[in-house]
Amino acid sequence: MVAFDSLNAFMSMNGYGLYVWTAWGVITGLCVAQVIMARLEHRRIVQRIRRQIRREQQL
Amino acid sequence: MNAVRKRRLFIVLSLVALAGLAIGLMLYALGQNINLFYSPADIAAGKAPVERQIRAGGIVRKGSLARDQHSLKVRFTVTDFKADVPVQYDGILPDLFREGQGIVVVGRLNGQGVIEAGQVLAKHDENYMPKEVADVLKKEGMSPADYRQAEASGELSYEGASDPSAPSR
Amino acid sequence: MWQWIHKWGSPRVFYRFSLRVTPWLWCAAALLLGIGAVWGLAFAPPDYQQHDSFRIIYVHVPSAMLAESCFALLAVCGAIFLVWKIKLADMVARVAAPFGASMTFGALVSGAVWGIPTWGTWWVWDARLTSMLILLFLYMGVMALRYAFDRPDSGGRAAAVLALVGVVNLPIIKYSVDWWNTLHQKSSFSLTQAPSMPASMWVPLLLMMLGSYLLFAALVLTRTRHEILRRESRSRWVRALIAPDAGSSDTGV
Repeated sequence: MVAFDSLNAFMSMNGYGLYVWTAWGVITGLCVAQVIMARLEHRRIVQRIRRQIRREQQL
Repeated sequence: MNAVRKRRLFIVLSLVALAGLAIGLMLYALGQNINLFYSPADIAAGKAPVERQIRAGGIVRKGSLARDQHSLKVRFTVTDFKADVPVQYDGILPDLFREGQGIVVVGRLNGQGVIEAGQVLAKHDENYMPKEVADVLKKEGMSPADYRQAEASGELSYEGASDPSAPSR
Repeated sequence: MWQWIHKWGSPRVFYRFSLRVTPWLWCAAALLLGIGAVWGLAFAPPDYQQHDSFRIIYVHVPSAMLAESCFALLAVCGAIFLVWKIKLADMVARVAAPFGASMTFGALVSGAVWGIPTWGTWWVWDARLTSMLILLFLYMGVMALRYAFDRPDSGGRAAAVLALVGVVNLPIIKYSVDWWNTLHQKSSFSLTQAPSMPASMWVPLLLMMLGSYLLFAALVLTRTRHEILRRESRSRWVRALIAPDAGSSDTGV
């Protein structure tokens, strides 16, 4: 059973919206940032190793 | 495990033990100073300094809240069921402030043993329940003896608190 | 038993294991967190005193638990690295620390935001809040020490020592609410007692906690894989894996 009467009540959290959405936003944002950074890290490392291999092959 | 690793393990363990001991001793020496607030019993025993900023915590005694008709001034009594301390405050009380609720007041203890509070913080407990459950508990009521016992042991800070998953009687 | 540590300490064995389990971990974490978030935000009943601000519990408690568990992981890895000189333990410690630090920060911020409507203040210097702030500083110290040395091994060892010393803070955080008067309430969850809230409130919290542990596991395993690639970039098996013509699909995130 949904705890809210309307979408509006849900968004405003019956007056506590600022607090609830800030807390959820900050922690969700931190987790998402960690995951995105992990993806970028993977790409960076693979590219670096590829460059290394190419350089050695040219020698 | 070879001797070198055994020695290193011993060093690591003694490092943790030493750190634990050092910090344990430090906390022991700091003792009461780590407490956020004085209890009414501490204040009654004269442990709290007079005319200096202190914090006092306890439960708002039922029926003690008196509001001024023309201003935000309020007077109430904070209790730990061993001693009482009167508090006067001029300001907006937090949402969760109500009689029977745990609070912390920040202010100075005057010569008459009254705390002139500059800030009132609501302390809530670890029990959460939907309004319906709280209403049912309140309506069915705990026996007065149960209630007083729970109050005296400091486990209760508001009316009708109990394990909500327990079968209702 | 010591044999076991050395077998799993092999980066190559670990890499294969990690590659196999992480897709499942990511999926399970997303599923649990998704269900837990919708349930906690929209379906759990509001608290009779705190109303809807109580929904902050569904991110505050998991992040605080992860912050503490992650530091315990740093200490265990640190001990393994110092005693057995297993490099893999140092790699795990290195990649786990930033996540633990950000969860500590998240727990502090969500707690402060929750404190405004419920307590009437966003910060007090009580034992729980202060010991959590110390945890954040410990994380920063552990991460900074690693880069304060020219040789990566020395940095890892220094970070491990600080993690082992700092682990003393964990029981202080946990028991601070029992040992001293604090504004923070006692814990609602324990292994031995029934939770102090009805199932409609604690089941979504449990989902969020399990989901966040799975997310933590997936993230640490994935980043440890990256760290293995980085440190073993000269080894033949890594070269074979990342040959320019082989494509990167089988090394994936």
